Amino acid sequence: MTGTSWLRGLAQRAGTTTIIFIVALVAVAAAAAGPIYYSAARTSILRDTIATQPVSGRGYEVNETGSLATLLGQLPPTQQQRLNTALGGLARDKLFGPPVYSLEGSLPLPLYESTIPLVYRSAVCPHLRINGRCPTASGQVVVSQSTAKLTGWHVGQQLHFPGEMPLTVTGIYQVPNPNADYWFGNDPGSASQSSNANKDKSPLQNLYTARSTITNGPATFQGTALVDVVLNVDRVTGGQVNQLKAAMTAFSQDPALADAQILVNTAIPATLSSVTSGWTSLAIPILLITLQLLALCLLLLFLAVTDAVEGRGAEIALAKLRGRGSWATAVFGLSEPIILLALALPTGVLAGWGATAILSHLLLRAGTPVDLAGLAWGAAVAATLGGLAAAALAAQRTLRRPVLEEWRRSGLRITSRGWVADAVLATFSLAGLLELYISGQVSSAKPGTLILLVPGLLGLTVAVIASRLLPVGCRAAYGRTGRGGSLGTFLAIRHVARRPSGVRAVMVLVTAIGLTTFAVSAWSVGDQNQQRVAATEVGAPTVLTVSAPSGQDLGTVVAHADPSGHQAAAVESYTSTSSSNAGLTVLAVDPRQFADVATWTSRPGQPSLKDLATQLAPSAPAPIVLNGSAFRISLQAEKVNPAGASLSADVTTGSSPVSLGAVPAKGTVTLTGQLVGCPCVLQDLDLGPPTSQLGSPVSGTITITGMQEYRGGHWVTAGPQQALTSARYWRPGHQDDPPDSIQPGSGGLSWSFNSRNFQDAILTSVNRPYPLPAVVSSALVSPGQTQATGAGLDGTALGLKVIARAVAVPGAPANGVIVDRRYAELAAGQNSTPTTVQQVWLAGPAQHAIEGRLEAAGVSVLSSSTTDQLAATFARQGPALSSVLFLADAAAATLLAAGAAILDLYLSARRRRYEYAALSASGVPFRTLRRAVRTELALLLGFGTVIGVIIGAVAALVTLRSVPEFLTAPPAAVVSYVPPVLPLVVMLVVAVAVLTIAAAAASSTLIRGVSLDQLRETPT
Amino acid sequence: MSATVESEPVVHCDGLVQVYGTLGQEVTALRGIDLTVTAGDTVALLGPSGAGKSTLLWLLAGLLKPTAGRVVVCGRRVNDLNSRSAAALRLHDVGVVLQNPGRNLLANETATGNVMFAQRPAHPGRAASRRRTAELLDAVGLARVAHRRAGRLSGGEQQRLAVAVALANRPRLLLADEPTSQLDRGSATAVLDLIRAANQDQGTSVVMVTHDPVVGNSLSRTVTIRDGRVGAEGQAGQDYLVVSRDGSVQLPTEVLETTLPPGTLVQAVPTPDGVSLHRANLEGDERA
Repeated sequence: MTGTSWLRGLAQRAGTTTIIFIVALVAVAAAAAGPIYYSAARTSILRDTIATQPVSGRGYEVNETGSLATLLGQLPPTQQQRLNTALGGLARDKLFGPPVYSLEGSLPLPLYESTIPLVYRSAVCPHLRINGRCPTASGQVVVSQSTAKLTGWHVGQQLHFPGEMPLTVTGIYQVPNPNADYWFGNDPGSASQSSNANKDKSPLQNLYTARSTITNGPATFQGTALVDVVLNVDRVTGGQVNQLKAAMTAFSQDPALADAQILVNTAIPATLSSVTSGWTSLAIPILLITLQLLALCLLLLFLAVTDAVEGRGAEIALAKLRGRGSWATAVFGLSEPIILLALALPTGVLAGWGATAILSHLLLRAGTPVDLAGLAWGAAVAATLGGLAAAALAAQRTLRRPVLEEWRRSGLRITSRGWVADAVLATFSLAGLLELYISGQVSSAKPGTLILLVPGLLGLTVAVIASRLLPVGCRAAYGRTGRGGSLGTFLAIRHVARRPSGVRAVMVLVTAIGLTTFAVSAWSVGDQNQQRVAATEVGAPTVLTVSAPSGQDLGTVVAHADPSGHQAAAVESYTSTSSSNAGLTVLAVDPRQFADVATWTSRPGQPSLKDLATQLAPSAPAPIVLNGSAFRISLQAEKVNPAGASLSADVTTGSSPVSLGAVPAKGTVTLTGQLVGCPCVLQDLDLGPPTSQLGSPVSGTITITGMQEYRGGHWVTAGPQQALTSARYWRPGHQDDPPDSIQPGSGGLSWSFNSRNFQDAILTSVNRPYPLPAVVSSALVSPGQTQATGAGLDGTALGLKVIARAVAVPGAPANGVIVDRRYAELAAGQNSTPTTVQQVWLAGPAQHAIEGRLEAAGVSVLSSSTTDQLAATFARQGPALSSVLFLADAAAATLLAAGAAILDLYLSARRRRYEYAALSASGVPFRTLRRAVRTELALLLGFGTVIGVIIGAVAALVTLRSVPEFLTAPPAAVVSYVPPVLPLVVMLVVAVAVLTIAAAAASSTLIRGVSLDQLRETPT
Repeated sequence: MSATVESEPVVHCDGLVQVYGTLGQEVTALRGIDLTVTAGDTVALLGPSGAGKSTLLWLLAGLLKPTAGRVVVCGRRVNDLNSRSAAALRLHDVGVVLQNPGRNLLANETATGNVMFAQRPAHPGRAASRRRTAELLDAVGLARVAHRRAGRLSGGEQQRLAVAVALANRPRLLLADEPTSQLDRGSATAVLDLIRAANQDQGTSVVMVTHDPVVGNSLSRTVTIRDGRVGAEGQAGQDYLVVSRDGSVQLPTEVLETTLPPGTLVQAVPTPDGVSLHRANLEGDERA
């Protein structure tokens, strides 16, 4: 047989050739794409993880303490040499960015009884906004704006420090972006955590100077040299992780550095360890998904080669007749599939690489390299060998068939042997399902990757059974179609019942459509849940972390920036670190605005956040705000024991408590105290025993007749006029026995008290609801619980009245508490902890406009997070990436299966052209023949599609709860496992449209090819 | 091609029995065939449909193994051949031409390619192979269509090509199953001429199944198979009944229908050169 005859044979059997080549190509591409995609996804996850770490998690800092004059000459080369030793071959990959060198010392400042850090930091000036010029020469410094304000230092001034050379101020600096990697997570205003200069924390901020200022200084000038280095995220790849982790661990524990008193701080190993969990969530799904597509492709290949070799049965018999041996006959029979597989290997690898590159470009982190790894070639070769095995298996029946048997065959039949193979297939599938069920993969709600096998196994099981039931059903319809009705239907029913190609087509189609239905469901549910979880975790479309201008209320600024009142909400967020409620996040919000912008998830029947807004902020007496420089209180004492008890006022800011003076046992008195740092709010009046009787209980009655503050040169009434005439404004500070009595009257506010030992009598100013109404994460309180203890913005315990249990508090789904911001600030005494974060929550549309207005109002935007960003991050994590791969693979499988099924049916029908020609010769119109073919195709494809969709939907409903969607499980109430209908409908419409068009084209082509001349040929 | 030994028969069948078993039913196709074909013989197998002619041909081609009896082809006992040695037998010593012209050929292959396909395993030398192919195609009158695909040749051309293919390896025995039945008279004559030429030029023995008495008479011997037995043989224009090893003789149909209908009692009366049959007349003997 000549070389060109192979080509002629391939061309002659173009349909079969095409389908075998495409199936082989997809099989090889799928096999190659798995490792390529995994490699790229690993790098994407790695880079995403590294990029979201604090700088210490993606860099290292080396420090050494000693004489600053010489440190910087030794430390950089030493650390670099040790790092290179640890990195080994990775040192060539330039994984780290340029180092930043620092020298940090401190200068005494006797005037302020403090010190001030003097810092050299390489290339610092581009990271400062300097009013003046950069210090470039020895003895020049720049001073922070706050230090300049505090000290009055100015540009051009010469500063003198005891024992040090004079320093000239060349500029006043601000730090535009203190979160930049350049600062390595340190406060640019103060010396680093590891620096000696930090040991006696100075209120004065760093003086930045030129290197020569320090290195030319006296050898006795002690301090710390630092080298800060950050990983170059875009150079790290997945394949380097293990080596890098080991190298950084070794570097951080390098005994040579330790001996030299050089310390290495890095969290890179911890970061890299966290990466591998993301990889694990990807590796097994990709393997399973790839194997499922590969298995389907090999099954299709088996069927296509079976058909191709069967189609060449006469030629193979001829080869045997001409004396070709078994091996030569096998080579002859399989030559075409072998050629096609050989062609499919390189083209499939390239196709897989190309498809993965496109998929990676759409899904993965920008700039992620998509390399054609050796493993991809290995997998492709394995797939090709699998294809060869499938082809050999498919051909062996024909190749072994005796010549005479081949000549006597009158067509394929659904044989009992086929039943056995199907039964074995179904048994294996059922066994797999049973194993998954027993191992808890199906029954457990805990996500597991093996669950991804269920749709394939279930689909295959049902496909085998359904494909066998269809012919049985058709045979049952023999009688009905035989008694009357359409001849087309009569023919179609019999062909479906008798021809094995129909069984094969249905089997393949059910499996592929089932997989796709499941994949669409899994992807759409995953996408929906990613959006939901992202919206809940971020809390609003956009959340800005800001710093309000000093002395300004953030809520007021936000109100000006958003006149509509519906697009932005001021929020103060505090996450508790105390042992009693660690991790609890308090969101102090402006309820009405918050309700408009926050993402609220509620169960049916639960109130909306708008409904809750009014309950969060019930009316309360106005606070007693003090603006003056002094506060006085007039009172009448009655039976106060002990006499001379000390009265003080607790205020929210400034010097608190404000000591007012001693209260006599009996009589009228006006007591005065100085106010410092107000405006402030009066929190309470505290009556304690005199110093000589500390620990004694205090009892008696005092009637407060007036409260005044000194403001504008006059004494004016402090607080609301009704403060002393209404009991609403006061409550006892303690629950004493007998309880305190508070009685307003025309003569003033009468307060009777009887405190316990070691407790003062306290009259608390009521300016907020008590306990504070709160919406609490349902995980924190049990159903029916009405009161709870949370944390205030000042970090202390705060009594809460639970007005609603939220399935997910926006911004802190499982551990959040929402309270009114105004009341929370009052409860904290306007003394929020430094870790309280100011935020502005924004609705989507007005984000940029409001952000601009906020910045114009002096609000510094420190960072922002958006729902879309977080959803995109989720979409780049292992579970989502595997879900998309599943969808892409399943879609490819369905297209492949549909094409193969239609072609298989077409070829099967084409072999019946002789029969159709005979029917035509006997007077059957072409339209009836066309109807017969179309009915047959519709019956097979429709049946396969319907059963496939049902199976896919059932698999989705049963297993989606266990399909991993996130690296860490979100609150159950936020997510939903009911597949959205629209994607399924779209998929079904597309599938039906494609099948219908292809079937119509195939049937028309087929019938057009029927001619009476074919009756001259031998029936095949 | 194996060396031909004048005294050695190319085909020797000895009590050949072939039984097909299908779905529990047994069909006896051949019931003790004795047949010898000497080198250079051309034998036509005649007989009604279902008589076993084609079965006998497949047995001679090594495509079947006899149920009983012995068949030796070109010195090799077919009973003992496995599929590999049977293939080797067909490759080197036996050429086969089938009834359906299309079935003899690779439709996608050219005429040259078809000959070379049959030839190549036996004649690895490419130049020699091409030369031989060209000779064969020239001999069968297909040189001008040597590069045309077999599927595009006419039926007569296809069957002539089939003969060329069958003769590609200079077989000692050519088996042909009704090679002219689907051809017009002219094409049939051409094919028969080719077969006779191969017989005369190369000494190839021929066993041909045919229904056509004209075709049969054009060969040196006719062997008529009836009901799985050799019923008659004809040589040089004379037909003879063949006495089987159980002593039975198959009478010609016309005798059965007229003189000795089935069930007739006869007497065998020896004569100097044989025996004569007399219908028994229980009331008085009567010569048949």
